[in-house]
Amino acid sequence: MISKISNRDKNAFADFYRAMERPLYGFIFLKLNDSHQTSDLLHDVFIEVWKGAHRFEGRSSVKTWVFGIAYRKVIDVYRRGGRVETMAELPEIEDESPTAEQALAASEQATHVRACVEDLKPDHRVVIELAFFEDFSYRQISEVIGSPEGTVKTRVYHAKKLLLRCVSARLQTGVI
Amino acid sequence: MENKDIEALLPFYINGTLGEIESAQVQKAVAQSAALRSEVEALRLIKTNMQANAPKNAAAELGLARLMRDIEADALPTPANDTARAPFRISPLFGGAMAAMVALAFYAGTAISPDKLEYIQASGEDYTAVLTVRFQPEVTQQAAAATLLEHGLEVVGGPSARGFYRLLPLEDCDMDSLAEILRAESLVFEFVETPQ
Repeated sequence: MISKISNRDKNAFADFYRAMERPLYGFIFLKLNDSHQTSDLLHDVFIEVWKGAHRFEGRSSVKTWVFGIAYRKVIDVYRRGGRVETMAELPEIEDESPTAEQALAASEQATHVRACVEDLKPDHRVVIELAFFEDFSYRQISEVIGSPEGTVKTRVYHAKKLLLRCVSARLQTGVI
Repeated sequence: MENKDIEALLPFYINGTLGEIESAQVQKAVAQSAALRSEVEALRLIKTNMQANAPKNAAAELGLARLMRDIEADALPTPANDTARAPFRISPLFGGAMAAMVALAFYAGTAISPDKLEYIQASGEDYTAVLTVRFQPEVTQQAAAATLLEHGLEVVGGPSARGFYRLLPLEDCDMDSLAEILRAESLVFEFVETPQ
């Protein structure tokens, strides 16, 4: 499909849009939380695909290539906006992993999960979202964000801990 | 493999992207640890919850239509042809177009640089209770200005790179009802959205 797009096949481009629009929109929206800004950025991503399809060398999958474009554009928005990272590193407290019952109850409440994901700092959040929304492998995530696989694993480890701890804490304190 | 390594792989164990060897290692560790089993269960449920609440693009087809217009007109976002995407077009066949444009800009509280056809927002205020709209590509300046006047609307922002404008009602009104009225003006507006 990408080779067709590089040959200016508009039907192939439309098919590509229909295949990739939903996951890309979700990926971008979860980071910007603004539907208009997301639509604009999504447009820019697809324009870059249209203009740059001939440069795709097949060293990664098409999906990770396109997500990589989207990720870099989101980072540009963060930089321009001076976005502040909202959650620090793991606090130095004794680890108290949530019980399955706590997590089960919490996971049934979308509000808690959504709030806790939003509280993760961007580089933690992106690895969890790519793993859980898009079912990316750690190798694919590494390609998307341009970081070594070991870094991805470390971020996933911390993000997962923070997420579970946050959900558990919100459940215990009754925060809605 | 250390316990920390196993824990780092749990999300990928859950989404089924681990290779055979790593998957077997994680599976073995999970089978031997109640804490890991508990964590796997919790993460599975969180994953399910996240996917069930994935955001959706309500304007997906509009986005495709605009993309196709851009590429078909070869109107990729360069400074030289960016104005091709603006909804108000200047045509030599359209007498008084510039006058109407200036009139609209005056009415809207914006200033226009005619040589560049750029809208420069006169006010730095950040309006939040505004409608977001996009005009039909073929709508004329007069038609747009007349519609804004008719409905008591003022342009307070835009256009964005994709041609979105922000409109502020001059008087208090029910925004949802107003949006419905504007949507009915389908020859003028391509897209109308109420504040989120």
